[in-house]
Amino acid sequence: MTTRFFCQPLLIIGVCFCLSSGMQAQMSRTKAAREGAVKGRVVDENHAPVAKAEVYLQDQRLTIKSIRFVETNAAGYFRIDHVAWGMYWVFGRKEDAGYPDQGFAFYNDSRSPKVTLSPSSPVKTVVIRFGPRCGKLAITITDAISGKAIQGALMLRRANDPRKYLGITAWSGPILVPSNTDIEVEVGAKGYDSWPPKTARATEGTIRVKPGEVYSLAVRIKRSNP
Amino acid sequence: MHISEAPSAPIRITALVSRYIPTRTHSTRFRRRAVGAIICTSIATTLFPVPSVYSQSSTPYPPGGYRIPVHSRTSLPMPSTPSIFPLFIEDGAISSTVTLINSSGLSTYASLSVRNAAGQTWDSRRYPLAPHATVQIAVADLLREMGLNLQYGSIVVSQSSGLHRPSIVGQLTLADRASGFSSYAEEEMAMPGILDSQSLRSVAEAADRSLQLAVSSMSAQVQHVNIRCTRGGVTLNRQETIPPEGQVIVQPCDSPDTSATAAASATAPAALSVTTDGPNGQLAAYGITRHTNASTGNEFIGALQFIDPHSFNSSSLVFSGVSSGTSLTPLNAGEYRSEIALANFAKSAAHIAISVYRTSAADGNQVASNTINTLLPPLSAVQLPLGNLAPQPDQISSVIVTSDIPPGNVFAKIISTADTAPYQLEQLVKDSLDGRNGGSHPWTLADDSSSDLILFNESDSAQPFNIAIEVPGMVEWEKTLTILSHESRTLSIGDLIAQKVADDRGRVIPASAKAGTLLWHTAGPGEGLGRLLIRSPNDLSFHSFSCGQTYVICNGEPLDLGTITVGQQETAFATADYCIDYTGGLQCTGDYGYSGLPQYADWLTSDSNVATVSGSGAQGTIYGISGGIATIDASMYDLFGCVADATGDVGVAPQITGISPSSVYIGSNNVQITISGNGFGTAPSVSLPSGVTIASQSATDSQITLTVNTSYSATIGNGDVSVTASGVASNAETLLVDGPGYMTVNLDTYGPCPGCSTTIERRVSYQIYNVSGTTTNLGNQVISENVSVGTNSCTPAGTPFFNTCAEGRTTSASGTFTDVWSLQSDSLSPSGCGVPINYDHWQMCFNGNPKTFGTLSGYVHTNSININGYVVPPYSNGMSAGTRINP
Repeated sequence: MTTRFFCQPLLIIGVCFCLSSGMQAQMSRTKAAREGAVKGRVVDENHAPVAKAEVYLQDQRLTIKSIRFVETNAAGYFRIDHVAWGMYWVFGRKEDAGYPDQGFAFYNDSRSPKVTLSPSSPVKTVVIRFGPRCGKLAITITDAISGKAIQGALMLRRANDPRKYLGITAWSGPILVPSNTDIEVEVGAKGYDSWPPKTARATEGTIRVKPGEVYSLAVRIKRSNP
Repeated sequence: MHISEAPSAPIRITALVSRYIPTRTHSTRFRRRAVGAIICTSIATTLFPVPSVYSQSSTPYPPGGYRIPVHSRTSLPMPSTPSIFPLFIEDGAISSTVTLINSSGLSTYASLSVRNAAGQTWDSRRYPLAPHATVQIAVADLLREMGLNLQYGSIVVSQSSGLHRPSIVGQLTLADRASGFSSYAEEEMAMPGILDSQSLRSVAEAADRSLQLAVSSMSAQVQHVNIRCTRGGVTLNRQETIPPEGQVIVQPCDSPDTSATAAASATAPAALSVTTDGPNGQLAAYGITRHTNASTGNEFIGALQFIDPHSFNSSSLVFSGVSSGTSLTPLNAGEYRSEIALANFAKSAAHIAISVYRTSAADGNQVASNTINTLLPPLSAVQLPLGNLAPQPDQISSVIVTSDIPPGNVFAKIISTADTAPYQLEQLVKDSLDGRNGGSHPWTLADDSSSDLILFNESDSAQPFNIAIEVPGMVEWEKTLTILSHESRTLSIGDLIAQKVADDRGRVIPASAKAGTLLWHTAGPGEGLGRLLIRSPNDLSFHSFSCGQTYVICNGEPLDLGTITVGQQETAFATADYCIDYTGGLQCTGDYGYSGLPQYADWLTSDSNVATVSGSGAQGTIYGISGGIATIDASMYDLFGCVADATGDVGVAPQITGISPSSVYIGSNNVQITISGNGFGTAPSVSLPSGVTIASQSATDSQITLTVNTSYSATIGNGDVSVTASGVASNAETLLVDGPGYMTVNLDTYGPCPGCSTTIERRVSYQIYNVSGTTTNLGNQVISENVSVGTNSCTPAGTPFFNTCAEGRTTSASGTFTDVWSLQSDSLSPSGCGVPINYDHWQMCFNGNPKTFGTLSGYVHTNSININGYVVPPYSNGMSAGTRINP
């Protein structure tokens, strides 16, 4: 502890500083005994480092808590400290670059790493791989009669794996959608019939986008019969 | 006995007492020898419906009502001297009813006893009287209770010994139904006293039938009286002997001489006098005149009022608000034309000036005045036509009769007649310098009756009249009216209620008010006269009260002052107690009459640097100068020379006009705040919201500069800031302690949890906002949760993980965070199991002073998640963007 080196016991102020620093050091040692860290690097589909990507851990247990994001540096490296012992998924995202939140199964191909931290293995190093980049769905929802915009809800589902879906009721701007795969789109709003109608789902509501492509979809929905 | 030496009793316990000031700059024509004896005069014809609220006696009011006035002799009685109705008649044709009114604000009682012509006395009942209450007693019932069979006699009234002044006024109504048509005569209660003389006088209008006169003795000795009637130039004298406390009834103008001269004079007006050889003030007299309507043959009676000529203070007689034309006459009745009967008892001729003052009721302007001059020979009586004194319906006329001979020698009576019933109305006369400056009258609106106060200022200058309308248990309505010289004015109580006319304090009489008491007074004698007229459109009833009292200011009531701010003005009202004092204002004390507004007051302040005050009457205007407390004094006075003080403290509060900035952020230090305003003085004390402390302060009278620290323990939200200067606190202005106050939904998503196929996960991104609606200071802040969960129904049952302050989880740079709710495993059973979330308080950690900015509740199941009632799936049930979550 270098701080002790600077401690001057003959000075009252220094004594206080020394004690304070000493306490901090003691607390650090205590935390170190209970917490570990996850570090690593984020790379894209071309194995290039991704800077300013957000990385987070997710408990694999009953969770009612917020997500703690850390940001990668210019070389794509990150480090998450003060992590309690346990098993975690390690996810990343950089949505403005077309890389969605891997924590959603809808986007994830199960390639995200899992780590287990313990006193015997307090630090783990992982590589998070992004890609391929998503396309975007720009959707507008309006009342079929009045033409007024409606704040509706979306259900996005992979056509080839319906277990991977994402329900969304609040969003702004285009929504990332996996590229080069068929995505079934369903639109709903309270008091309105969903779109597309069930009888037309085989032919309507499926989109496919290329990486970086923006797919515009204007949906007009009708009020439900009372 | 000298009245001014009578012991004065404590009437009301108040902080302030009145004092007598011998002289005032205000002129007074009132002579100190003036009497203030109570007289109740009234006029009534036909039925007067007395509401039950007045009738506190078990005796119902008889058919009939108050009618023709009878001025009993005025006198200066001893407080304990009983009063007397000189004549009652119960002969089968005429019946009598006594009405007693407690004109004081004190509870009392009256006792009635009956005397016959021989002077025998029968004690009778005691009648309790609440303040301002009225009781009516049918004399027939009274006689029946006593087992008496009397046709004539007198009634003596004694009041509670607890009252120190005669506070009970009364009248006796004679109802004549002999001809099948009812007519009425009113008889006032007389209060003889040792300061009265040995004479009584009256004037009778012309009548076609004999008049009757009753003379009653109050003496324990035999009295020999001479009764004189002068009519048509013929004078008749009768000598009668009255036994102790006895009575004689005579027809003084009927002569045994049946000559043509005597017969011709039978229809002329008459001058009547009664003189005794007994002690002073031991007689009372009352008479009735008898008439026949020429066209219908209906008979009716009139009244003769006898007054001690020595009781007059002036040679001017006043008739206030004459009933004439269709003005102040019975509703739905005919048109009345007026005449005046005049009698001169002096041995010299009198020059008489009859001045008529006509006022437009619409605007109070005097529209006309004219004077009739006549010469009245010595020892004579005449009757002159006055015509219609109110040619327009909205006009009111009052009359002043002035003579050039000493007071008490000229008597007058105004009679107004119509061709239909009621055939005759008689107008009361008052001495212009009557010592009574007020009245107390019961009013009613029952049976569609109208109650109108008629006021007349007989003086040569404008005068304030104090009006108080009391409705028991409801309101005391007070107003001071200024009435111009010789102006007559009516005040309709029905209109006041219907038009919601506010009094001087902004109060109105409730619409439900149907009866009560009306009181009025002027500041001194000779300033004005008034009477209350009650009329019904249904039965031609016509009832006039003009009971008079002397009201002197006797107590000031504390001023009810609040707190004003610097630069603000407040209207204050001084209130005084007025006592009934028949001594003419020599003592400034008496029995409590009522509380009202003073006409005159000098307003003073103890510290004009704190507050100034201005005003000349009941209303004072206080103006705040600087923070502090000043004592305001209203020195109230009347024109009798009585003074009372009303005082109170007014707090002048400093005023805050602005605070800049208007908010401080929680946890901030060394923030400078400027409080603008005035009246701060040099050492103000500033009160700030809890948790906001002053590090330094400087102040001028108009600005305070503070450096403040706001701890994390402060309460987020609006708090009050006030400044106290010289012990008085300012208005409170708002200072916002800003901080996280709520959050809104940015993104609400759900899908399978990582690695899951069936169990779902819900992620919601929230934006935190300050209570001010901004997002400043919310980025990179440590947040945590205070969570309460129920029993986990899953197997295996896991313990939920949530954020703690120690964990150091922070918001994003823009103040957002993403919350994840999920059971995170497909390996749970049974299907759909989960855990209820009782509450999930999201908080800023704030160094151990957590502040909740959003509260969630719901449940987490494997297949559905409920947040604040938004249950997904289905996907469309999620929270919309912008959904607000409060703490």
